[in-house]
This record gives sequence, C-alpha cells and structure tokens, in this order.
Amino acid sequence: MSVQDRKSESTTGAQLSGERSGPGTAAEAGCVDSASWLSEDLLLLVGEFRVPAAGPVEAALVRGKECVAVELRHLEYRKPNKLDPEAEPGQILLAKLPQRERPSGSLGQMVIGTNGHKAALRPMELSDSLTDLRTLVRDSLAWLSAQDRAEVLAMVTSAAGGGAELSQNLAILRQALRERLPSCVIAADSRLAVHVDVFLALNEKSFYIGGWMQDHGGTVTHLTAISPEGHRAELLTKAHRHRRLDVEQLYRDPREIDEGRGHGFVCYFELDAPSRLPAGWVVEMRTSGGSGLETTAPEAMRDKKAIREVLLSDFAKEGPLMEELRANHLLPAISRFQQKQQALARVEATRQYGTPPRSAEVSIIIPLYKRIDFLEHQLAQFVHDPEIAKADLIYVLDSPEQAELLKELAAHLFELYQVPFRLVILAHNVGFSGANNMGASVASGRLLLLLNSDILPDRPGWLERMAAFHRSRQNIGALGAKLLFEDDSIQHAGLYFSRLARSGEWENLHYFKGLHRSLPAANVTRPVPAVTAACLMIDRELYQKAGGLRGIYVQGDYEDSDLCLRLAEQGLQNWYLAAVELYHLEGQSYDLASRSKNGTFNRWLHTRLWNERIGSIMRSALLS
Amino acid sequence: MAKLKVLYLCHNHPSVRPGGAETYAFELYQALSGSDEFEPTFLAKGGPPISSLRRPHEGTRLAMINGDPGQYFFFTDDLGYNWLNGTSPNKEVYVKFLHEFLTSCKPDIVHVQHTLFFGYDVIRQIRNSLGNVPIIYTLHEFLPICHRNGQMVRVENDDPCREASPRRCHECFPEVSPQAFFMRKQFIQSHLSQVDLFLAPSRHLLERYVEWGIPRSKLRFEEYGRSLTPCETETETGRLRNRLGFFGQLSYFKGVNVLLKAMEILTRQGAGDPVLPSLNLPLLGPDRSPRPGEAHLWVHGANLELQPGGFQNEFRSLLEGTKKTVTFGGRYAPEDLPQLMRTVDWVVVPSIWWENSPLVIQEAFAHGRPVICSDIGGMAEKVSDNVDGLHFRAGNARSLAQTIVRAISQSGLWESLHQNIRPVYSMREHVTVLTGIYRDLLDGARLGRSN
Repeated sequence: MSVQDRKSESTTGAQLSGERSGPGTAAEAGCVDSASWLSEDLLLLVGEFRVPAAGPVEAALVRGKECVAVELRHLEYRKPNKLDPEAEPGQILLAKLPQRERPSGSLGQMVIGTNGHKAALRPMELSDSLTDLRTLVRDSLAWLSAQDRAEVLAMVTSAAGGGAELSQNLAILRQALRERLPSCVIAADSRLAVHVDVFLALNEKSFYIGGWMQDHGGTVTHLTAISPEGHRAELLTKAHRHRRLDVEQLYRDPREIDEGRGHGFVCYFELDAPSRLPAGWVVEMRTSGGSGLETTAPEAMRDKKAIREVLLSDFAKEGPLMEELRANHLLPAISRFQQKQQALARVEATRQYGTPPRSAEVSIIIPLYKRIDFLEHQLAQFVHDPEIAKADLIYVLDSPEQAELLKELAAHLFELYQVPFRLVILAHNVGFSGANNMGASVASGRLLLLLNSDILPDRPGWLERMAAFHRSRQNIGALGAKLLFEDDSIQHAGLYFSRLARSGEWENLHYFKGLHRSLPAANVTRPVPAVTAACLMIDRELYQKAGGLRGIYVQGDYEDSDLCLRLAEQGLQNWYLAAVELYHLEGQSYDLASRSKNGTFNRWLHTRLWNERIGSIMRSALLS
Repeated sequence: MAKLKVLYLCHNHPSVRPGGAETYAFELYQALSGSDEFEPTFLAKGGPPISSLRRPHEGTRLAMINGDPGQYFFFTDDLGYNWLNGTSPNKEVYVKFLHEFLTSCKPDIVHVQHTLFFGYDVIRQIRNSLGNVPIIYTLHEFLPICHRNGQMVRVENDDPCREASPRRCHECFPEVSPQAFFMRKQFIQSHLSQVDLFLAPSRHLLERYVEWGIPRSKLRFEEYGRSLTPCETETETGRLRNRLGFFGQLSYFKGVNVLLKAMEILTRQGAGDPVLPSLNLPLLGPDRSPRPGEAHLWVHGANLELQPGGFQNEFRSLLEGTKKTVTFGGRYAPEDLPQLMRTVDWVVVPSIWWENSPLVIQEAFAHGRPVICSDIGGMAEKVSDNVDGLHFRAGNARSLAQTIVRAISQSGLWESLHQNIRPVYSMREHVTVLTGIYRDLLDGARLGRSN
C-alpha cells in the first residue's frame, strides 16, 4: 500500500475537462463505491480503479462544462480473496474541495488523471455514492489489515483543517480502525499499569494530565497521550514524577523509591493539531520489549472553575520537587488557561444612561462581578457628589449572565439617582484585570480611576482631590488613597513587599492595616512602592502603553503591584494620597479560601517576575 | 385660597391591622381632615405581607380605601422586599408607579409615617418627583438603626442594645457581614438625608438617632397627639387595687411572657415557694384558694399567630399554669378599650425593648390608670416611677412580681399615683404644633426656591 499526496492545480484540472466535451469521453476506468463527508470540504472516498499511468495523480469534479479541481491523497491496497489478479486495486481517497462550504445537490463526476491519461469514475454523479461515515467504515474499511487501517488513520489524521465535525468524524474513524493495545487492569501483582486521575483541556492544543504508572522492571519507554482525533503527545520524558503512597501501598514494593521516580506523574503537553473532543482520549504505555497496554483517560475537564481549582490546588501542594512542577507544568498550564480567558475579552454591548459629561477629565472604571447590587449602593453615595456627575463613569459587567437583569436595574437606578453612567457588558467573564482593561479601552478621560464596586465614599470632594494631586506631580505613576474598613481602621495606606521567611517569596502587604484612620504616620502623603487597584488613578495613555493590568495573574491579586512595578521600572513614582479616605468593604464578592489559593500562585509568579526589582525597591525604602 | 395638600405615607392601614404607628397616623389624618388650611391624603402600603390582597385592579398599583377620596392603598411588590437594606429590588415601584402617583396628587408637603415595605427609596423618589417640597419623617421605632425589626434588643441574650455598629449587628446576625451592615447604614442614610425634619415622639429615641448620625438640627421632639375620650374617673376609695391589665400585641418584645412569668411566681409564692423571701405576703391561702390580696391579670391582645412558634408555646403553657389568676381576653376593638380599662386598676407595660412612646401608656393615663412598666427607654420616660406609675427591671419577672405585690398591697399607693396622672397630649394640640411646623417648612422651602 502506498500513500500519494498530490495537489492538483486548477490549471491541471482545467486540462482534465478542456480536452473533451464531457466526462463520457474519458475512459471509464473504475468506480467510487461510497463516499462520505468528513467536514465541510473534506470527502473520504472508497473505490476501485487503476491509476491510468505512472506519475502524480490529479483529480477534478466535472459537471457539464464546469470543472472543479480537488486536492487528492490516495492509498492503494490489494483487495484480498480476489480470484482475478487483473481486477482493479482498491483505493481510499481523501479529497479536499476548494469551496469552503459543502455543495448541496450535484457534485459532478470524479475524473482522475496522470501524465495526460485520464479516467472518469462511475457513477456519473458522485453524490449518488454518498453515504454516512459509519456505514462506509463498516462496509469498506473495518476489515482491512491492521497495517492498512493504521495507514488510513495516519493519512486522515494528518489532513489539515479543523472544526467540530472533522473532530467528530476523525474520532469515529479512529474508534473503528485503530489497533488496540490490551486494556490496563489494575491488580496488585501487575508489573505494568497506567491510570489517569485528572485531565484538563486548557485550550484546543494544550492539556494537563495527571495520574500514576507502575513500571516494575523499569522497561517502559513510552507513555503517550492520544487524542480522540488521533494526535499524539509523548509524556514520559517530560512528565513530573512524584511519589504516590497509595499506589506504593497497592504494590507493596519493598524498594526505596526516589522522589523523582515515584509512581505519580503530572504533565503539561501540547499537540500539533487541535483536539476538540473531550471524550475518547487514550494513554498508551509501551515497553522496550514491544509489549504495552492502554487506558482511557477521563473526559477532558473544560469547566473554567474546575480547571482553575485543579491547577491552583496542585500549585498549592508542598513537596520536594514542587519548583520543577510549578515552573515546567503548572506555569505553562495556568498561563495558557489565563490567555484563553483574556483572549475572550470583548465588549458585547455598551449602554449610556443619562447624558454623558462633555470632556470629562477622569474616567472611573468599576468592574461589577456577581454583586450587581453594589451599583445601587455606590450610586446612593455618588448622588451626593456633583464631581461624579462630571466624570466619565463606566461600569463593566464581568458576569455577563447578569446582563439582562443589570440593564433593567441600571435604567431604573439612573432614574432614581440621576447620576449618568455607562454600562459596558463583556461577552465573557475575563476576570478583574481583563474587565479593567476593557473599561479603559472605551474610556475618554485623560485620567483613569480604577475603582472597586465595594468602595463607598462617605462625603463628596475626593475625586477632584485625587485629580488635583495627580496634576500637581511630574513623573507620577499610580496614585492611591487611604482605604478604610467598616470599623474606621485602615485597609490600605499604600502597598509594600515583605519576604516570607519560608519560601523567600515577596508578599504584598498594606501599610498600617488595622490601625485607626487617624494614625499620624498614615496621614502623610508620600511615594510608596505600590498601591492597590481597588482605587488607583493613572494617566490613561500611560496605562495603555504599559499594557494595563496583566492577565497572567489569577483573579484580582498582584496585578496591581505588577503594574506599579512596571511603572517604577520606567522611572515613575507611585504615590499614596492620605487626604482621600474611602471605605473599602472588601471580601464580599468571592470567598477567602479561593483567594488564598490564587494568592499562592500569584505571589510565586510575582516574585519570579520581580524578585530583584522588589529587592532594590525595598532596600531603598528601608534607607529612606 | 386652595388648601395645602399633605400626603401621609404609612406602611399599613389600621383597618387592615391596627398597629400603633398606623393607628396614630390615621388618627392624625382624620384630625387634619377637619382643617380649613390643609387637605390630607393617606397613602397606605397595600397587599402582602400584612394583607392577603395581592393586587389591585389590573393596570394600577392603587386601590381605594373605604371609598374615601383622600385614602389609597399603594401596592409595591409582594416578593423580594430586601429586609436588610429596606428597599424593593424592583425599582419600577419608585421611578414609575410612585412617581405617577406623586405627580398626579401633587402634595405640598409629604409627611412620611413609615417606609417599611415601601423602602427608603421612596424618599429619594419624592425628592425627584416633587422637587423641594418639605419632607417630614416620624420615627416610630429604631428600624433604620436596627435590623432586628428595629427593636434594638441583642439576639444573644435579649439585653436592650445601646448602640448599633457593623460588628455588633453582625454578632446579632452572623450571616450578615459587618461590611454589609456598614453598607446598609450608608444606604439608608443616603435616603434619609433628603428628609427636612424628623419627629421623635420620645426623647430617648431622639438621642439614639443623634448617636446614629442624624444631625440634631433635623430632629425635633414631638409627642404623639391622641384623640382619646377619657372615661369617668374612679372615685371609690379604700377598694382593693388588685386588677392588672395587659393591652397590646402578644409579641415577644412586648414582654407579655415576662408578665405571665411574674404571675406564675406569685402563684408559687402562695404555695409556699420562698421565691420572694423579703415579702411575707402569701397571696393564696394554705388551701390554695384565692385570698382577697391576690392579683388578677387580664390579657387583652391578638396576633399571637404571627409570632415564632417557641414564643407561642411558651405563652400558652404559661397561661395554662396561671389560669387561676390570669384571664385571657383575646382580641379587642379600639372602641372597646374604655370598657376594658374600666375593669382594671393597673396597666402593665412590660416590653423588653426600649419602646418609643407606647400608645397604651397614653390610653392608660387617659383612663386614669397608673402604669407598671419596664424601667427603660420610652416607658421610663413617659411614666415617672412613684409619681404616676411604678418601674421594674426590664425583662425581670421577679422584679415585676415584687412590684405587683407592692402595687396591690401598699395602701393608698394607687390613689396617689392616680392623682398625679396628667392629661394626655391631645390630637388638637398636636395638630396645632404640626401645622405650625408645616407652615415653617413651606416658608423655608419657598425661600429656598426664591434663592
């Protein structure tokens, strides 16, 4: 059996039709038994014909005067049990049509040609051969030899293009045609075993897999993940290995196991081609002796929350080789995951309530996530402050499932409070940084004020005070304010970094947290290492040039100090303004447990990115 | 000259259920109806949870009350009233339906009696719809301050609460965060900031609101005026004064169970239980038959079924245990009150919350009955100990039992307290003061406009 991969150029296709008045003039040298669509433009055909002459094979669909060239790959195989050795050989064809959309109705007749010799294949109308893929596989392919089936699969899997339908059809083919290894059975006396506990689809090409394997004789050479569409990724060489006490107990292996050679494995891997089907993944294990076995992976997890939970929980684990796991597997996995979320950032709709102020100096950007009731609480305070009505007030909804509810509420609340504002509804939940960046992308003010929805002023005048201070400073990066807890203690008076004794990581801390708002030391306006994004004023162009808040951090932590550090890197100064006091009723939007998990990752990443700069900033802060 | 329109807003109408605030508010509406200068309108919140009538006619939120062109029910929303923040989540209630009513009715003054079930947003809407018309707000209890039905009684131990704070409120309601309590206060105060004048019927309540953050300049003490007909004063002397009366809602905070427990103690005392060692006054004979010195209590009140089950059970069981000395009279109509008052010597007001200015104290005094009451808040303010009544330690049944023993056994006590009772502040005087306030505020508003 031989594979030939030829693209017939359109000129050649024209030649195929141009030399004759109709398909009938070409010798009828065989037939197409059945054909089936794999995707919008990809046809799988099975037939019997002899290629007219040696050389590259070209193909076209001819219908009346029309002739459409198709890209063709074909596999020739000898049909078994044929008494007549002169009979035409079997052919499996993969034809890619030039049009994007599948033609409905007539396809024409397929004509193939080699070196000027051409042959028209019956039937006159190819669409008469169309059948569904399962029937085609059962009748024409399932009985092929293992090697032929493997070649058919290889040819089809390598077909370019994508799409959900192709994925589905590739999986059907693979399911029917692939040669299976013995299924793994877990027993205490097995010398070989493999099991997958967790399997995440981070995007269509990036995956995170975790499980364990038993390799008693040390003979395993390959551990391969294979997608339902047939794409393969080798895991054994790059997987992170760790001890699994539960598995050790099962096998009662008396040998001392090194940490890096434990039964457990975790691996981030990427495929060359996209895989879209969650079910049908297989992990194969092969030994140097040629034996092997396989196991079915659980359905790929795609739920955002569940994926985040798995990755951050793994990240928060403690153990000897954690740094390797974090850097080589979890960081790329979480990054891919975060990138996918950020890539979804898009404004679905914008609504203006009331007359927008003309040429506002400040755009206030307030992300709303779940707690849309905070809008009412803020407006009930903003109504007392005429400066807010002069600002470009932008609410960004980051929980789009509440869009309809919020639109109605916003319209009513505008009527009640008559504070003009814009509502920006995002197409997908993109997290704190994405929501702020989307808000900034539509902002018109020279200055941006990033503000949390759980911040409440208790008197007017603060906005202009911040803007005036910002105007008065050359070389200013981010400007923050004094934020208070509900009991009048300080929540934020500037942000600094402190090394954790155990990990050496830098932790973000707030100056004077928990002390009374009147504390003299907190009443000094001064440069600080960073300020919280719960209330952060910055020049809009500067913010945009810096790239805004970065989406590499998980959910609302450390992206503010990351921005401030990037500003400091440019030689700008971040300021704390003591004269502005606002209440920050934090921690009502999401639970503290998940926040602490996010924090473990964010702190690690933040330290990895900024270790040296933070060190030098904190040294000079100590000196001053 | 056309009469000036005064709109009263109340959370209920007394013809649906006669609570204290709505009873007073409606008496005020009736009194002002006779004015040559003012024309009142009474807008009562209709429908659930107080009335079972869910909806007025199709296409309107209004319904008439007894065919009087000056009285309306206003239906807000049956479901989803936000009890914590005191707001209806459906803002259409304000920006559409209430707005339509206000701009049609065009009052010159709005006197809010209660925002419960309306939501505090009505105040903002009144401002939006009517510009700078004077807004007056009578404070009937501590609802803006305290999430526990405005009673200011700690959940943990039922102690009267002196100050609300996010932490203390969270201690009473662990499911509500301190932050949420802070936001509640800011939200409510945002709306209350649009009120021109608050009326406080007790000085105690006035001070609590000052501490909470209402500027003193916006608060004014003004007692409830009442349209009560005094019954003829009892002149008989030397008679045993051993008949006690409880009048009011059979609710936990009204302390009726404290009173029943006191009666239980007195019963046990008679049986030889030395619960009152300092008093040697057995009220039951050795054969357990009533003796002339025995106190007898009439309990007149209703709405037991609206109370929590535990309270109902305790009430019933106490009633069962004291049936020799307690008679349960049940529900009564306001017009029956003089008749019922005539059958008692003392009126007991044993509330475990501060109270504001309990109407029952005014009613007792109007009928010449000295009052035995808790020694806190509005009760202690309105009843002077050993002058026109007697105080006991709030919530303390033993203290109440001792006070009852003293009241019924100390000869001449009743007569001297009775003689000290001053006339009750009349609705006529009250209306004179109120209309003066209305005029002043209207003048102020006009000045404000001309500026």
